[in-house]
Amino acid sequence: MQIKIMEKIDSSDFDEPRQVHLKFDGSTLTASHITVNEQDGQVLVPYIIQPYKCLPDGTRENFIDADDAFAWAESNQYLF
Amino acid sequence: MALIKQTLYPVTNACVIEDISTGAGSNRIYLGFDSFDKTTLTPMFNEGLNHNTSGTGLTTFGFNYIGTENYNSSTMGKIFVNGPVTEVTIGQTSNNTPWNNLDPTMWHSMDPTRPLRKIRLDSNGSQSVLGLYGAKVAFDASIRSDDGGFWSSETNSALPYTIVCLRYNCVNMRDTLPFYSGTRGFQNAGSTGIRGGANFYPVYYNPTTNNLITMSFSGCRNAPDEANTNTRQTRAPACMQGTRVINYLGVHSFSWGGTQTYYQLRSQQFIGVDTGGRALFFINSHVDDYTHIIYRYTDADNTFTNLFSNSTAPTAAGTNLGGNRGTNYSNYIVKYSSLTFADPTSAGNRAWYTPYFDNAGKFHPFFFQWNVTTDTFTRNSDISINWAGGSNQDNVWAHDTYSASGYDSSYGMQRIVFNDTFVSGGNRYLTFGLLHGSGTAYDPYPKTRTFVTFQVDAANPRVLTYHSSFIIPSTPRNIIYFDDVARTTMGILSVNNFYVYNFTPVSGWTLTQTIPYTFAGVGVDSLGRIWAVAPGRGGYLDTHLITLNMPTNISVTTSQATYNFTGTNINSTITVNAYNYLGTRIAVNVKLVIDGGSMTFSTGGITTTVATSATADTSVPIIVTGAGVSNIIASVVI
Repeated sequence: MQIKIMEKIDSSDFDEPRQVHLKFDGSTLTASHITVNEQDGQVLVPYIIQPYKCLPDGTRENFIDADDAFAWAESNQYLF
Repeated sequence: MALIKQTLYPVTNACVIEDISTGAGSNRIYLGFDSFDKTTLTPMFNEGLNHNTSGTGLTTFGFNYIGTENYNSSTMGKIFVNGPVTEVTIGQTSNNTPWNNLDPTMWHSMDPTRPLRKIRLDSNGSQSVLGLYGAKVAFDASIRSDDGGFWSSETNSALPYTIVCLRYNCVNMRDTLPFYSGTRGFQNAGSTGIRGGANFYPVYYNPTTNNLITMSFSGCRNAPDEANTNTRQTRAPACMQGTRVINYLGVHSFSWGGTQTYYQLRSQQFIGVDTGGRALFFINSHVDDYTHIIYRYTDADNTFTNLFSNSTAPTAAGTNLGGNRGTNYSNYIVKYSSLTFADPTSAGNRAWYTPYFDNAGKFHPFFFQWNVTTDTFTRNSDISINWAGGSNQDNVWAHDTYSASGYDSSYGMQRIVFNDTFVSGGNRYLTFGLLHGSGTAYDPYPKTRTFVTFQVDAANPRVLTYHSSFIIPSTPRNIIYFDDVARTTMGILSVNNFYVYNFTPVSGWTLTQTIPYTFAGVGVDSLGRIWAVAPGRGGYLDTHLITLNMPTNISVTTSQATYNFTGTNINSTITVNAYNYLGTRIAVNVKLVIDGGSMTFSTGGITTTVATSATADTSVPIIVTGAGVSNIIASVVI
């Protein structure tokens, strides 16, 4: 399992950047919101379960590895 | 049209609420606070509706007031009936104001089996929820917390109704005076759920998870962030992913489902449900016409999976030039897709059309295909449009380049482009057009207030042939399909009139009735009656019933195409039929007058009155008495 924190800066979303927690388990990419509260500290709230890449032409492809999954997320921030 | 009821009390309340619950005593409709038999509209003595659980005073619920204050000029919350409803704000007629933001209820659900309803009854056999919803699309600086979405329902000993109420405590809708004062679940969406400025639309109850899936969007720029903790100045319109009501049946309170993801400058539509019972949604960008996302919402754990994305401008194919329309034809265009329909090229699968304008500004809708087994989607852009008679788009239709609708705007929903498809006479058609919430912006521009219709090739749905177009007499503010699945009759709300159109393959969309009223809302109840509300005394709304069963077309045909008069009278017949706005034959008295000296009726006279039939042709004897031309003039006897 590999983890990456993505700085979401896509201008079609909020003007302010925010962080997205990415986790790849070998086949599926999970994206989580990162929230903080006084009781639990940092809390991850999963919101995307992505078993494949959606490509810009409308097709799908399986992730090759974590690098591929994270790169896809970075280049498709409008999906997150 | 008949005026049914005026507002009696200076208390803000919904004008019409149809009780769609089941069991004894449910056959009611509430006009204001008063109860009526739903079938006969007979007043029910000493019975009424109040949302105040304490039974003291009248609690406001919905809207029946126009007044002069813009923030009171609510878009929705006036009519709650179990059929299509379209509501508009009528307090403003100027361009580029937040009060122009449109109620897109006609398009929020693309699923013809699950049309959006502003009142709905969900049940698991032992427990039910009767919910009402409505929200204020318009914007005001303070974002009033008391005019967003709301729900109410009831508990009944025979069939327990879970009380779920957003915004207001409410009592049993069927309680008689004194009002019920028990404890009911209560959820104020303004404090813990979707915040002011956003509207939510329940689209699907998932029986497996017991969650009600809602869809939310903001028509103005104050919208919630993901954590629902702040209202933020953002860009509109916008939509949210992941909104649901948890434990919808079976408890007396519910909660919203945690994290939401918020997208600005995008609109959202409910496509339908996958084979696993999960809702599918379509997201469409306003910035361009080709960035689309389809996602599956797993409400059990409040996550989603992207099923499809395409942010690539199409290449030229067919007559579609492809590319990006840019800002040459106005900047941000909010677009709504059609209902889904059976894909004629792929048995068992579904399809729909989504508006797109190529780099020359020409309408070439995407033809989407949905494989319902694999939930894979294909976007086809190789569209060919055949313009009949050497015509072209520029001859009949023009973009809105007159009103700003843009970036960081509080009135981003003031205009929309729709394309709706329907079947008539065995053929499929596609109609597209523009709506503008001001009701005035397109008055100087006839082509911009024109709806254009294409016939879809039966074998290849990517081939469209121009069929017809019509100019709405004044700016179309919004539309209601009286049957929002069939979509062959529509009412158009404008500033001064309500126009009724009916589609036939021969004539296209034809204006069949003009009602000279400024309607703030129109809805069809479960009995097929059309309710409408218009400004009345003291700034409050009057409630009307619209009758559309008047004849709009009378057909008179002779039994022979020509008669050869040789000096002897010829006995013959004419066939008379009267049709209503739906094109359905109806029974009515028709006066016939012969204009000319070569023909009489069998009585020897030149006038007669006949009663037409709703089931068969009506034959009227005539006598040809000479050579020459005679006309028969028909008129309805009311």
